[in-house]
Amino acid sequence: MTTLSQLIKDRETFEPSHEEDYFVFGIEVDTDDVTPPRNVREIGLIAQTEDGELTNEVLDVTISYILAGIDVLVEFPAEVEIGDPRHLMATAASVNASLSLLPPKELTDESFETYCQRLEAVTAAYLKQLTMTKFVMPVTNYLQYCYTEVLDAELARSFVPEDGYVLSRFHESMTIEQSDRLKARVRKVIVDNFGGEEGFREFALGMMGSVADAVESSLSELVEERRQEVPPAGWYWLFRKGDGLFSMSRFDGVSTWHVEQPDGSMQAFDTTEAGRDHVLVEPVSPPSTGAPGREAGDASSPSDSPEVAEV
Amino acid sequence: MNPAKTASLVVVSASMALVATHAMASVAKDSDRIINLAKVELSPELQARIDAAVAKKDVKQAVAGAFSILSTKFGSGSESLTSKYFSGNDILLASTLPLVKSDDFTGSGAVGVPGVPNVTCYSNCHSACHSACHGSRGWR
Repeated sequence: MTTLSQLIKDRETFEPSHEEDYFVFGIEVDTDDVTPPRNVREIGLIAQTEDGELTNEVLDVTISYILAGIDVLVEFPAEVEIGDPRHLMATAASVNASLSLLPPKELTDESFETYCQRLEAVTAAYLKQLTMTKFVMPVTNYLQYCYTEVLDAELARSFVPEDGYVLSRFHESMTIEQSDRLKARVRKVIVDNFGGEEGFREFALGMMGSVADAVESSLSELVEERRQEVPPAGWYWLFRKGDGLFSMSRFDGVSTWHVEQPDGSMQAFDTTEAGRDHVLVEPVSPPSTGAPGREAGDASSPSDSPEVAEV
Repeated sequence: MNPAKTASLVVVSASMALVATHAMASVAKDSDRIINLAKVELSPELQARIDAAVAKKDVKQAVAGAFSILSTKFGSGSESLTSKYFSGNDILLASTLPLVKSDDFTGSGAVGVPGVPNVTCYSNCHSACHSACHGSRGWR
Protein backbone atom coordinates (compact mmCIF):
# COMPACT_ATOMS: atom_id res chain seq x y z
CA MET A 1 0.00 0.00 0.00
CA THR A 2 1.28 3.48 -0.87
CA THR A 3 0.52 6.52 1.22
CA LEU A 4 -0.83 9.65 -0.44
CA SER A 5 1.99 11.82 0.91
CA GLN A 6 4.53 9.42 -0.61
CA LEU A 7 2.66 9.38 -3.93
CA ILE A 8 2.57 13.19 -4.08
CA LYS A 9 6.31 13.27 -3.40
CA ASP A 10 7.14 10.53 -5.91
CA ARG A 11 5.08 12.15 -8.63
CA GLU A 12 7.00 15.41 -8.38
CA THR A 13 9.75 13.87 -10.48
CA PHE A 14 8.07 10.82 -12.04
CA GLU A 15 7.30 11.05 -15.75
CA PRO A 16 4.90 8.32 -16.93
CA SER A 17 6.07 6.27 -19.87
CA HIS A 18 3.06 3.97 -20.17
CA GLU A 19 -0.67 4.62 -20.21
CA GLU A 20 -1.06 2.53 -17.04
CA ASP A 21 1.29 4.87 -15.18
CA TYR A 22 -1.49 7.45 -14.99
CA PHE A 23 -3.69 5.14 -12.90
CA VAL A 24 -2.83 4.47 -9.26
CA PHE A 25 -4.83 2.41 -6.79
CA GLY A 26 -4.66 1.35 -3.16
CA ILE A 27 -3.57 4.76 -1.87
CA GLU A 28 -3.90 5.40 1.86
CA VAL A 29 -4.91 8.95 2.75
CA ASP A 30 -2.41 10.07 5.40
CA THR A 31 -2.32 13.79 4.75
CA ASP A 32 -4.74 16.69 4.59
CA ASP A 33 -2.82 18.12 1.63
CA VAL A 34 -5.47 18.23 -1.09
CA THR A 35 -3.08 19.25 -3.88
CA PRO A 36 -3.45 16.52 -6.53
CA PRO A 37 -0.33 14.53 -7.44
CA ARG A 38 1.09 15.19 -10.91
CA ASN A 39 0.35 12.90 -13.84
CA VAL A 40 -2.54 10.99 -12.28
CA ARG A 41 -5.81 10.51 -14.15
CA GLU A 42 -7.49 8.00 -11.87
CA ILE A 43 -6.72 7.28 -8.25
CA GLY A 44 -7.99 4.60 -5.91
CA LEU A 45 -8.18 5.91 -2.34
CA ILE A 46 -8.55 3.41 0.48
CA ALA A 47 -11.72 4.23 2.41
CA GLN A 48 -11.57 5.13 6.07
CA THR A 49 -14.87 5.34 7.92
CA GLU A 50 -16.13 6.38 11.33
CA ASP A 51 -19.49 4.95 12.34
CA GLY A 52 -19.98 3.79 8.76
CA GLU A 53 -19.37 7.24 7.24
CA LEU A 54 -16.36 8.26 5.17
CA THR A 55 -13.95 10.38 7.20
CA ASN A 56 -13.57 14.05 6.37
CA GLU A 57 -9.95 13.44 5.33
CA VAL A 58 -10.94 10.95 2.64
CA LEU A 59 -13.93 13.03 1.53
CA ASP A 60 -11.87 16.25 1.30
CA VAL A 61 -9.23 14.59 -0.87
CA THR A 62 -11.89 12.87 -2.97
CA ILE A 63 -13.80 16.08 -3.66
CA SER A 64 -10.66 18.13 -4.33
CA TYR A 65 -9.27 15.61 -6.80
CA ILE A 66 -12.57 15.21 -8.63
CA LEU A 67 -12.84 18.98 -8.96
CA ALA A 68 -9.30 18.93 -10.34
CA GLY A 69 -10.42 16.50 -13.05
CA ILE A 70 -9.10 13.25 -11.59
CA ASP A 71 -11.37 10.19 -11.48
CA VAL A 72 -11.56 8.93 -7.91
CA LEU A 73 -12.36 5.38 -6.92
CA VAL A 74 -12.98 4.98 -3.19
CA GLU A 75 -11.86 1.46 -2.34
CA PHE A 76 -13.47 -0.37 0.56
CA PRO A 77 -11.46 -3.27 1.92
CA ALA A 78 -13.77 -5.97 3.30
CA GLU A 79 -12.92 -5.09 6.90
CA VAL A 80 -13.91 -1.41 6.53
CA GLU A 81 -17.48 -0.73 7.64
CA ILE A 82 -19.64 0.77 4.86
CA GLY A 83 -22.64 1.76 6.99
CA ASP A 84 -25.97 2.08 5.21
CA PRO A 85 -25.34 1.26 1.51
CA ARG A 86 -28.04 3.74 0.45
CA HIS A 87 -26.25 6.54 2.30
CA LEU A 88 -22.90 5.45 0.82
CA MET A 89 -24.40 5.47 -2.67
CA ALA A 90 -25.91 8.92 -2.15
CA THR A 91 -22.54 10.23 -0.93
CA ALA A 92 -20.67 8.76 -3.92
CA ALA A 93 -23.28 10.16 -6.31
CA SER A 94 -23.14 13.62 -4.78
CA VAL A 95 -19.37 13.90 -5.21
CA ASN A 96 -19.16 11.98 -8.54
CA ALA A 97 -16.90 9.28 -7.13
CA SER A 98 -16.77 5.61 -8.06
CA LEU A 99 -16.71 2.91 -5.40
CA SER A 100 -14.96 -0.41 -5.23
CA LEU A 101 -16.00 -3.09 -2.74
CA LEU A 102 -12.96 -5.29 -2.37
CA PRO A 103 -13.18 -8.97 -1.44
CA PRO A 104 -11.71 -10.21 1.85
CA LYS A 105 -8.00 -10.97 1.73
CA GLU A 106 -8.64 -14.33 3.33
CA LEU A 107 -11.71 -16.01 1.93
CA THR A 108 -13.31 -18.37 4.43
CA ASP A 109 -16.89 -19.61 4.14
CA GLU A 110 -17.91 -16.97 6.66
CA SER A 111 -16.02 -14.03 5.13
CA PHE A 112 -17.22 -15.00 1.64
CA GLU A 113 -20.84 -15.09 2.81
CA THR A 114 -20.44 -11.68 4.49
CA TYR A 115 -18.96 -10.31 1.25
CA CYS A 116 -21.84 -11.73 -0.82
CA GLN A 117 -24.35 -10.08 1.51
CA ARG A 118 -22.47 -6.77 1.30
CA LEU A 119 -22.56 -6.86 -2.50
CA GLU A 120 -26.25 -7.78 -2.55
CA ALA A 121 -27.06 -4.76 -0.37
CA VAL A 122 -24.80 -2.47 -2.40
CA THR A 123 -26.30 -3.71 -5.70
CA ALA A 124 -29.82 -2.99 -4.46
CA ALA A 125 -28.75 0.50 -3.33
CA TYR A 126 -26.97 1.17 -6.64
CA LEU A 127 -30.07 0.24 -8.64
CA LYS A 128 -32.13 2.73 -6.66
CA GLN A 129 -29.67 5.65 -6.80
CA LEU A 130 -31.05 7.91 -9.51
CA THR A 131 -28.19 10.41 -9.38
CA MET A 132 -25.35 7.91 -9.73
CA THR A 133 -23.06 8.92 -12.59
CA LYS A 134 -20.04 6.73 -11.87
CA PHE A 135 -19.28 3.10 -11.14
CA VAL A 136 -19.60 0.65 -8.28
CA MET A 137 -17.17 -2.21 -8.64
CA PRO A 138 -17.64 -5.10 -9.07
CA VAL A 139 -21.40 -4.57 -9.43
CA THR A 140 -21.27 -2.36 -12.54
CA ASN A 141 -18.58 -4.59 -14.04
CA TYR A 142 -20.97 -7.51 -13.78
CA LEU A 143 -23.87 -5.35 -15.00
CA GLN A 144 -21.74 -4.60 -18.08
CA TYR A 145 -21.41 -8.33 -18.64
CA CYS A 146 -25.20 -8.70 -18.33
CA TYR A 147 -25.66 -6.08 -21.05
CA THR A 148 -23.07 -7.90 -23.17
CA GLU A 149 -25.03 -11.13 -22.79
CA VAL A 150 -28.16 -9.44 -24.13
CA LEU A 151 -26.23 -7.89 -26.98
CA ASP A 152 -24.32 -10.95 -28.13
CA ALA A 153 -24.83 -14.16 -26.17
CA GLU A 154 -22.19 -15.99 -28.18
CA LEU A 155 -19.55 -13.35 -27.58
CA ALA A 156 -20.51 -13.21 -23.91
CA ARG A 157 -19.71 -16.91 -23.54
CA SER A 158 -16.12 -16.27 -24.57
CA PHE A 159 -15.86 -12.97 -22.70
CA VAL A 160 -12.74 -12.62 -20.58
CA PRO A 161 -11.94 -9.68 -18.33
CA GLU A 162 -9.03 -7.67 -19.67
CA ASP A 163 -8.83 -4.66 -17.39
CA GLY A 164 -5.89 -4.85 -14.99
CA TYR A 165 -7.87 -3.59 -12.00
CA VAL A 166 -10.70 -6.08 -12.51
CA LEU A 167 -8.23 -8.91 -12.97
CA SER A 168 -6.10 -8.15 -9.91
CA ARG A 169 -8.79 -7.04 -7.47
CA PHE A 170 -11.64 -9.42 -8.30
CA HIS A 171 -10.95 -12.06 -10.94
CA GLU A 172 -7.78 -13.37 -9.33
CA SER A 173 -8.92 -12.87 -5.75
CA MET A 174 -11.27 -15.84 -5.64
CA THR A 175 -11.83 -19.21 -7.21
CA ILE A 176 -14.02 -19.54 -10.30
CA GLU A 177 -16.58 -21.38 -8.22
CA GLN A 178 -16.72 -18.57 -5.64
CA SER A 179 -16.83 -15.99 -8.40
CA ASP A 180 -19.76 -17.78 -10.06
CA ARG A 181 -21.67 -18.02 -6.78
CA LEU A 182 -21.07 -14.34 -6.06
CA LYS A 183 -22.20 -13.25 -9.52
CA ALA A 184 -25.30 -15.44 -9.31
CA ARG A 185 -26.33 -13.58 -6.17
CA VAL A 186 -25.63 -10.15 -7.68
CA ARG A 187 -27.48 -11.21 -10.81
CA LYS A 188 -30.55 -12.18 -8.81
CA VAL A 189 -30.70 -8.69 -7.27
CA ILE A 190 -30.31 -7.10 -10.73
CA VAL A 191 -32.94 -9.18 -12.55
CA ASP A 192 -35.41 -9.02 -9.65
CA ASN A 193 -35.16 -5.23 -9.85
CA PHE A 194 -36.45 -5.41 -13.44
CA GLY A 195 -39.13 -8.04 -12.80
CA GLY A 196 -37.12 -11.06 -13.94
CA GLU A 197 -34.74 -12.09 -16.74
CA GLU A 198 -37.12 -11.01 -19.52
CA GLY A 199 -37.73 -7.69 -17.80
CA PHE A 200 -33.98 -7.05 -17.60
CA ARG A 201 -33.52 -8.10 -21.23
CA GLU A 202 -36.17 -5.63 -22.39
CA PHE A 203 -34.72 -2.87 -20.23
CA ALA A 204 -31.20 -3.55 -21.56
CA LEU A 205 -32.40 -3.49 -25.17
CA GLY A 206 -34.33 -0.28 -24.51
CA MET A 207 -31.26 1.30 -22.95
CA MET A 208 -28.87 0.24 -25.71
CA GLY A 209 -31.44 1.20 -28.34
CA SER A 210 -31.55 4.67 -26.82
CA VAL A 211 -27.74 4.90 -26.99
CA ALA A 212 -27.84 3.79 -30.65
CA ASP A 213 -30.54 6.39 -31.30
CA ALA A 214 -28.28 9.05 -29.78
CA VAL A 215 -25.49 8.01 -32.15
CA GLU A 216 -27.87 8.09 -35.12
CA SER A 217 -29.19 11.47 -34.10
CA SER A 218 -25.63 12.87 -33.94
CA LEU A 219 -24.87 11.41 -37.38
CA SER A 220 -28.00 12.94 -38.80
CA GLU A 221 -27.11 16.37 -37.35
CA LEU A 222 -23.58 16.03 -38.66
CA VAL A 223 -24.75 15.26 -42.17
CA GLU A 224 -27.13 18.20 -42.06
CA GLU A 225 -24.31 20.49 -40.91
CA ARG A 226 -22.13 19.25 -43.75
CA ARG A 227 -24.91 19.83 -46.23
CA GLN A 228 -24.99 23.42 -45.12
CA GLU A 229 -21.24 23.88 -45.41
CA VAL A 230 -21.49 25.57 -48.78
CA PRO A 231 -18.17 26.94 -50.00
CA PRO A 232 -18.03 30.59 -51.02
CA ALA A 233 -18.51 31.52 -54.65
CA GLY A 234 -15.27 31.29 -56.60
CA TRP A 235 -12.97 29.09 -58.62
CA TYR A 236 -11.94 25.63 -57.40
CA TRP A 237 -9.87 22.71 -58.52
CA LEU A 238 -12.02 19.58 -58.79
CA PHE A 239 -10.67 16.04 -59.06
CA ARG A 240 -12.77 14.03 -61.47
CA LYS A 241 -13.21 10.53 -60.02
CA GLY A 242 -13.91 8.87 -63.37
CA ASP A 243 -10.65 9.64 -65.19
CA GLY A 244 -8.37 11.08 -62.51
CA LEU A 245 -8.18 14.49 -64.16
CA PHE A 246 -8.17 17.81 -62.39
CA SER A 247 -10.68 20.33 -63.68
CA MET A 248 -11.27 23.98 -62.98
CA SER A 249 -14.72 24.84 -61.79
CA ARG A 250 -16.57 28.03 -60.99
CA PHE A 251 -19.09 27.80 -58.17
CA ASP A 252 -21.86 30.39 -57.94
CA GLY A 253 -21.96 30.18 -54.13
CA VAL A 254 -25.45 28.69 -54.19
CA SER A 255 -25.83 25.39 -56.00
CA THR A 256 -24.35 25.50 -59.47
CA TRP A 257 -20.86 24.36 -60.51
CA HIS A 258 -19.58 25.23 -63.98
CA VAL A 259 -17.07 22.48 -64.58
CA GLU A 260 -14.47 22.65 -67.30
CA GLN A 261 -14.74 19.79 -69.80
CA PRO A 262 -11.91 18.07 -71.72
CA ASP A 263 -12.80 20.10 -74.81
CA GLY A 264 -12.41 23.35 -72.86
CA SER A 265 -16.12 24.12 -72.59
CA MET A 266 -17.80 24.75 -69.24
CA GLN A 267 -20.75 22.59 -68.26
CA ALA A 268 -23.19 23.40 -65.43
CA PHE A 269 -24.00 20.88 -62.71
CA ASP A 270 -25.90 21.25 -59.49
CA THR A 271 -24.06 20.39 -56.26
CA THR A 272 -25.55 16.90 -55.99
CA GLU A 273 -24.60 16.04 -59.55
CA ALA A 274 -21.15 17.61 -59.32
CA GLY A 275 -20.48 15.83 -56.01
CA ARG A 276 -21.28 12.46 -57.49
CA ASP A 277 -18.38 12.65 -59.94
CA HIS A 278 -15.90 15.05 -58.35
CA VAL A 279 -13.91 15.74 -55.22
CA LEU A 280 -13.28 19.35 -54.29
CA VAL A 281 -9.56 19.94 -53.95
CA GLU A 282 -8.86 23.59 -53.20
CA PRO A 283 -9.73 27.15 -54.18
CA VAL A 284 -7.78 28.59 -57.08
CA SER A 285 -7.28 32.02 -58.60
CA PRO A 286 -9.57 32.68 -61.57
CA PRO A 287 -7.98 31.55 -64.83
CA SER A 288 -7.28 34.09 -67.55
CA THR A 289 -8.47 31.68 -70.22
CA GLY A 290 -10.09 28.27 -70.30
CA ALA A 291 -7.67 25.36 -70.20
CA PRO A 292 -8.14 21.66 -70.92
CA GLY A 293 -8.33 19.04 -68.13
CA ARG A 294 -5.07 18.04 -66.53
CA GLU A 295 -3.78 14.67 -65.47
CA ALA A 296 -3.37 14.07 -61.76
CA GLY A 297 0.21 14.89 -60.80
CA ASP A 298 0.63 17.27 -63.70
CA ALA A 299 2.93 20.20 -62.91
CA SER A 300 0.05 22.57 -63.37
CA SER A 301 -2.28 20.68 -61.07
CA PRO A 302 -3.19 21.72 -57.53
CA SER A 303 -0.65 22.10 -54.72
CA ASP A 304 1.10 19.07 -53.20
CA SER A 305 -0.97 18.63 -50.05
CA PRO A 306 -4.43 19.71 -51.01
CA GLU A 307 -7.31 19.60 -48.62
CA VAL A 308 -9.72 17.25 -50.31
CA ALA A 309 -13.44 17.36 -49.82
CA GLU A 310 -16.33 15.69 -51.53
CA VAL A 311 -18.28 18.30 -53.46
CA MET B 1 -44.31 -10.27 -10.35
CA ASN B 2 -46.26 -7.65 -12.30
CA PRO B 3 -43.91 -6.35 -15.05
CA ALA B 4 -45.87 -3.11 -15.51
CA LYS B 5 -45.73 -2.39 -11.80
CA THR B 6 -42.03 -3.31 -11.73
CA ALA B 7 -41.27 -1.02 -14.70
CA SER B 8 -42.89 1.90 -12.93
CA LEU B 9 -40.52 1.36 -9.99
CA VAL B 10 -37.35 1.08 -12.08
CA VAL B 11 -34.86 3.85 -11.42
CA VAL B 12 -32.59 4.72 -14.36
CA SER B 13 -29.31 6.44 -13.59
CA ALA B 14 -26.67 7.89 -15.89
CA SER B 15 -24.34 5.24 -14.48
CA MET B 16 -26.54 2.46 -15.90
CA ALA B 17 -26.48 4.19 -19.30
CA LEU B 18 -22.69 4.60 -19.10
CA VAL B 19 -22.26 0.90 -18.36
CA ALA B 20 -24.51 0.06 -21.34
CA THR B 21 -22.41 2.31 -23.58
CA HIS B 22 -19.23 0.58 -22.42
CA ALA B 23 -20.79 -2.82 -23.12
CA MET B 24 -21.80 -1.72 -26.61
CA ALA B 25 -18.33 -0.32 -27.38
CA SER B 26 -16.68 -3.43 -26.04
CA VAL B 27 -18.85 -5.79 -28.10
CA ALA B 28 -18.52 -3.58 -31.19
CA LYS B 29 -14.75 -3.62 -30.90
CA ASP B 30 -14.69 -7.42 -31.10
CA SER B 31 -17.44 -7.81 -33.67
CA ASP B 32 -16.76 -8.45 -37.34
CA ARG B 33 -20.36 -7.86 -38.38
CA ILE B 34 -23.00 -5.14 -38.11
CA ILE B 35 -24.82 -5.49 -34.81
CA ASN B 36 -28.61 -5.24 -35.04
CA LEU B 37 -30.44 -4.32 -31.85
CA ALA B 38 -33.82 -5.95 -31.39
CA LYS B 39 -36.57 -3.36 -31.02
CA VAL B 40 -38.55 -3.50 -27.80
CA GLU B 41 -41.68 -1.71 -26.73
CA LEU B 42 -41.20 -0.36 -23.24
CA SER B 43 -43.75 1.65 -21.35
CA PRO B 44 -43.51 5.33 -22.41
CA GLU B 45 -42.69 6.24 -18.82
CA LEU B 46 -39.72 3.86 -18.61
CA GLN B 47 -38.49 4.77 -22.10
CA ALA B 48 -38.60 8.45 -21.14
CA ARG B 49 -36.50 7.72 -18.04
CA ILE B 50 -33.98 5.80 -20.14
CA ASP B 51 -33.77 8.59 -22.73
CA ALA B 52 -33.29 11.15 -19.96
CA ALA B 53 -30.39 9.11 -18.54
CA VAL B 54 -28.77 8.78 -21.98
CA ALA B 55 -29.09 12.55 -22.44
CA LYS B 56 -27.02 13.23 -19.29
CA LYS B 57 -23.66 14.94 -19.83
CA ASP B 58 -21.47 12.02 -18.70
CA VAL B 59 -23.29 9.63 -21.01
CA LYS B 60 -23.12 12.00 -23.95
CA GLN B 61 -19.38 12.25 -23.42
CA ALA B 62 -19.07 8.47 -23.36
CA VAL B 63 -21.18 8.12 -26.50
CA ALA B 64 -19.08 10.80 -28.24
CA GLY B 65 -15.91 9.00 -27.13
CA ALA B 66 -17.11 5.73 -28.64
CA PHE B 67 -18.88 7.42 -31.57
CA SER B 68 -16.66 6.00 -34.27
CA ILE B 69 -16.89 2.38 -33.17
CA LEU B 70 -20.61 2.58 -32.38
CA SER B 71 -21.59 4.26 -35.65
CA THR B 72 -19.65 1.79 -37.77
CA LYS B 73 -20.64 -1.41 -35.97
CA PHE B 74 -24.28 -0.80 -35.09
CA GLY B 75 -26.94 -0.56 -37.75
CA SER B 76 -29.70 -2.34 -39.54
CA GLY B 77 -29.25 -5.50 -41.59
CA SER B 78 -25.76 -5.28 -43.04
CA GLU B 79 -25.76 -1.50 -43.21
CA SER B 80 -23.98 0.45 -40.48
CA LEU B 81 -25.28 3.78 -39.23
CA THR B 82 -22.28 5.46 -40.87
CA SER B 83 -23.06 3.89 -44.25
CA LYS B 84 -26.68 4.92 -43.92
CA TYR B 85 -25.76 8.57 -43.50
CA PHE B 86 -22.54 8.88 -45.49
CA SER B 87 -23.26 6.88 -48.62
CA GLY B 88 -24.86 9.84 -50.38
CA ASN B 89 -22.63 11.71 -52.80
CA ASP B 90 -24.24 15.05 -52.32
CA ILE B 91 -22.66 15.58 -48.93
CA LEU B 92 -20.03 18.25 -48.55
CA LEU B 93 -17.79 15.93 -46.62
CA ALA B 94 -14.46 17.47 -45.71
CA SER B 95 -12.50 14.28 -45.24
CA THR B 96 -9.65 16.02 -43.51
CA LEU B 97 -11.91 17.32 -40.75
CA PRO B 98 -12.45 15.24 -37.62
CA LEU B 99 -15.90 13.72 -37.45
CA VAL B 100 -16.54 15.15 -34.02
CA LYS B 101 -15.29 18.62 -33.32
CA SER B 102 -15.21 19.88 -29.78
CA ASP B 103 -12.84 21.58 -27.40
CA ASP B 104 -13.36 18.60 -25.12
CA PHE B 105 -11.60 16.30 -27.54
CA THR B 106 -7.87 15.83 -27.39
CA GLY B 107 -5.57 14.96 -30.22
CA SER B 108 -4.17 11.82 -28.62
CA GLY B 109 -5.52 8.33 -28.36
CA ALA B 110 -7.51 8.49 -31.57
CA VAL B 111 -9.83 5.58 -32.18
CA GLY B 112 -9.22 4.61 -35.77
CA VAL B 113 -11.91 2.80 -37.68
CA PRO B 114 -11.49 2.05 -41.39
CA GLY B 115 -13.77 4.06 -43.59
CA VAL B 116 -14.52 6.72 -41.01
CA PRO B 117 -12.56 9.84 -40.18
CA ASN B 118 -10.74 9.43 -36.89
CA VAL B 119 -12.54 10.42 -33.75
CA THR B 120 -10.28 11.76 -31.08
CA CYS B 121 -10.59 10.82 -27.45
CA TYR B 122 -12.42 12.90 -24.93
CA SER B 123 -9.95 14.56 -22.58
CA ASN B 124 -11.48 12.74 -19.62
CA CYS B 125 -11.34 9.58 -21.65
CA HIS B 126 -10.76 7.11 -18.85
CA SER B 127 -14.31 7.30 -17.61
CA ALA B 128 -15.94 8.65 -20.71
CA CYS B 129 -14.93 6.12 -23.34
CA HIS B 130 -12.79 3.64 -21.48
CA SER B 131 -14.02 0.64 -23.45
CA ALA B 132 -13.33 2.21 -26.82
CA CYS B 133 -9.79 3.19 -25.90
CA HIS B 134 -8.48 0.86 -23.25
CA GLY B 135 -10.60 -2.24 -23.14
CA SER B 136 -13.54 -3.53 -21.19
CA ARG B 137 -13.97 -3.36 -17.45
CA GLY B 138 -16.64 -6.01 -17.63
CA TRP B 139 -16.41 -8.93 -15.23
CA ARG B 140 -17.63 -12.36 -16.13
